[in-house]
Amino acid sequence: MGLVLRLRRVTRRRDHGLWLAAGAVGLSLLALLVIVCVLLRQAALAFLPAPVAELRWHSNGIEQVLLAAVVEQDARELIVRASEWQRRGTGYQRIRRGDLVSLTWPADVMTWRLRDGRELHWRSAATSVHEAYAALLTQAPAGFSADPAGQVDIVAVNQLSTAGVVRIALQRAWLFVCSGPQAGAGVFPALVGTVVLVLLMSVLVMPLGVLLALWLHEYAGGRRSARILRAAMANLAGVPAVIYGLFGLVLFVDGIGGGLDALLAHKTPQWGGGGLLWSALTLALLTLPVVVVATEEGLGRVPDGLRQAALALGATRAETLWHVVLPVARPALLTALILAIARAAGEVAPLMLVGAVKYAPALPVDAEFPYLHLSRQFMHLGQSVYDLALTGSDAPRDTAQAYAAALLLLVVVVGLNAAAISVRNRLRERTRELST
Amino acid sequence: MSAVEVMPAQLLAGLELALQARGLSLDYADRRALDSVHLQVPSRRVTALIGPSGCGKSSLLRCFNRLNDEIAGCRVGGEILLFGDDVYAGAIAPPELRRRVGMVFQKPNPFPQSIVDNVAFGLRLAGIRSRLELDDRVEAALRATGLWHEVRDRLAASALQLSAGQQQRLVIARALAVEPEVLLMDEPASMLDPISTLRFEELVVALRERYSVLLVTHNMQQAARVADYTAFLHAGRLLEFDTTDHIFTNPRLRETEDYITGRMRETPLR
Amino acid sequence: MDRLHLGQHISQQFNTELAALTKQVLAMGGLVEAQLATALEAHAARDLRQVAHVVARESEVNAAELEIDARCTQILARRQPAASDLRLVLAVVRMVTNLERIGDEAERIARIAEKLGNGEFAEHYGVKLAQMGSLVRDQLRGTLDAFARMDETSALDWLRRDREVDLLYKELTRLLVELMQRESERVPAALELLWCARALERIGDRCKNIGEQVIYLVRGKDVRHTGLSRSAAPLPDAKS
Ligand SMILES: Nc1ncnc2c1ncn2[C@@H]1O[C@H](COP(=O)(O)OP(=O)(O)O)[C@@H](O)[C@H]1O
Ligand SMILES: [Mg+2]
Repeated sequence: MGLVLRLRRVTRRRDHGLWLAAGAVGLSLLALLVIVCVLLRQAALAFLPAPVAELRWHSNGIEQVLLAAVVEQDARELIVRASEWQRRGTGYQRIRRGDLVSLTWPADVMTWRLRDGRELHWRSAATSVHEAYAALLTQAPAGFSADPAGQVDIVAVNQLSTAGVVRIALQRAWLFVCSGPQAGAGVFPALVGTVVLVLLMSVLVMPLGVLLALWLHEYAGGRRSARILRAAMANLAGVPAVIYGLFGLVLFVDGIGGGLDALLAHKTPQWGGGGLLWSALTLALLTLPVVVVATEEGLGRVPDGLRQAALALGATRAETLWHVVLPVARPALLTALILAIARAAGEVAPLMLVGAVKYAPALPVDAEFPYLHLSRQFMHLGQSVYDLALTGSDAPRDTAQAYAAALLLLVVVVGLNAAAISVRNRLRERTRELST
Repeated sequence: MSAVEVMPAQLLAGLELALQARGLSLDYADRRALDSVHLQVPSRRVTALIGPSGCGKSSLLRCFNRLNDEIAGCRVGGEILLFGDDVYAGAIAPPELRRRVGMVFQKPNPFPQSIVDNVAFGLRLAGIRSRLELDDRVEAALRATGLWHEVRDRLAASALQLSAGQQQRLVIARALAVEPEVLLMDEPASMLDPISTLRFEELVVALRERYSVLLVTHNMQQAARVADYTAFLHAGRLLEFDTTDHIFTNPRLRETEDYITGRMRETPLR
Repeated sequence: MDRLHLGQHISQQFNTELAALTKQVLAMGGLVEAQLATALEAHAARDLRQVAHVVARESEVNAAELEIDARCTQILARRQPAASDLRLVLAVVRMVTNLERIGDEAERIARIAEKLGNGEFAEHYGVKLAQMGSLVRDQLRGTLDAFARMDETSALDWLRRDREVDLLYKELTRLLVELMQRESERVPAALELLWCARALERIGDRCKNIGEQVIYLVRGKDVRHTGLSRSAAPLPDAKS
């Protein structure tokens, strides 16, 4: 009742601005919702256990029987995926509807999902894994062997309840996040690579950006050098990201990296190839304009009275900046950081040139001194999305996994931002009464 | 205009002078703000500086602690003496000078920190690290401004939670903590409510015991209430300096009279 | 009138208030002047109707004093005047007290005319008294005029001419004392006449007070108790 009344009050107010604004907000929320829904739906395909059919059809007059998951179907034909006895992505078959004799969903079908992503289907009424495995060996083609320990799950796929389906999907999703590519398609190294890269980028760009902004705002004033720098920043912000990649390749990888290798007399290039540090530096350059602009604006909002107060108490300019201006501008610095992270976490193109690879043998962080390996190549979620979506050998599943990786990337970006935003809000709380 | 012309002879005879401006002039990038100002601020007295908006009161105040140095394109000519030492000659570095000459601004500007940290700010800058000494001096400064019993239970609370009047007294405490010799105040009560203003005026009168105060105010009654001496600044020139009693009952110049009685000038000065 | 630039405040309201105040003081001055004139006429003509007239209007003088005082209080409270404005209000408060007293003295003179009755002192005592009366009247008018024009030199002139009144008063006193020694039956009437002269002398003093306030108002110098009226010195340093 109250809501109806309030709605009526709102509608009676003839405020066009309000309606336009509300419309814009609604539209943005809708777009966001659609994106998240699409990602979720597509990603779910990678993890939901598919029901398995028993198909009988004629092929050249011979009746064939096959246990397979139906991947796609239309009026003329079906695309199914049967057991992948050898390699992942080898079980696909096309069956014309005209040839189809029957399609049933036997209850006793077992599906074994292996760590490398393969799925095997067979029929068995067994109740224990060992018996089921024995039954599998009788149905497998000659020469097949597999280690039962290499399983993700063995389920009677056609008998799963909804809760069971969800549980299995979540398990598989978790495994996807936590495992590496050598065991099927996992994105853990890419996840680690992304987070480490973004953090390293932040560590590099913030001091540089803040110092630049300080110089621009607190020291340079209206000097010509400041004007030139500001213009340069504005222009840099508009340069396509891939050009930063090229720039990083030339300057960091070939120039500085190559030079370092020559200086240290490395036989094999260590710094002269793409690596974590060069990528982080490239991203730092990419996000520098954002940081400088946001920080400078934040510095501009620090009340002049505070600077004067500090100076009048006998603080030098540096002390004023350090003890008063920067602490008050902290929320703005975090805003700058948030913008930088948002910009950097989504960039893939420049990274491909300076260090992100499809498959890296080792993580950039480990327990081995110096723990953070700046010269190592690394994997990146953005790169994974790209690889899975475009160069995968098992298109239906890889595409779904690309969506899953994309979703994960989104979660990482949102997570990093949320952390920064919550810190910022806590700081704002403290300086709320400070009217500007 | 020399010192002789702006003030009666013998007015400050026998008094120690805290601050002296001699032939002081100040130019901003595009305009002259002060023109050969001669001002003498006696020690342990309250001197009020009055004059219309834009006449250069704040600029003059900022000369005394060299805060004008921070303004690009600002040039100062003439001499300023702090107890006889030339402030601009380089004998005193600006941070040192500003510790000796404190300043309070129009808008209460506590740092967004705790009450204690605000008052201790200048002390820490001065290199005092001992917890004990800091506490002592913070308490002394807060007591001097009458704020101690109001905030003693919440010293760690944010200074921004205080009322405007309390904030202004906190800011004064912050300035007093470093024990300056002179206190410059730039329209310090213009943002305060009447009761806070009275409290503030009480405080200024009390400060007179230990400090030399130079107070800019737009509130003529305030100048009349708290100041021993009053200087009238007009269009960048110091026109009249006299005891407050004299300025407010029988000023020497028509300009001063017109200003303090709120009269219109048909013929603006120059 | 505007030597003090009373009409140049940014606040029009204040201008009007000050203008009204000075106008009221002048009106009261006019009333007191008329009272004195009527009282003196009552003496000269032994006209009892004139006496009644003076007595009747005395309350108007009192009312004017109260009203002007209230106005001054109001201005002090609401405007917090400074410098010349402050001096104006202070001067007005003091002047009005003096004017009211002059009014009282005028009434006393009128009542004495009533007591003296007919024709007793037609001789040179009456002439002397009339002479003193006209001198005091001139003094009052001149002083009020000096206030109206904010003319401190003219105020000083009138201040100094109070000595003439004093001299006349002394002479009249001497004559009356001689008379009383000579003719004891005329002592009561002579005493009344002496009271009358005394009242006129007091009015002269009060005019002097008013003149001092005019000087204070214009010059900002308090010249009370400085012996200025007895010396021939010029006014202290003029304002630039
Ligand atoms: N930082 C500045 N740069 C240029 N001009 C200034 C600056 N500060 C003040 N001025 C000018 O100097 C004159 C005096 O200003 P100020 O000292 O602030 O006057 P007041 O405090 O008496 O109102 C004004 O005309 C003002 O416009
Ligand atoms: Mg100012």
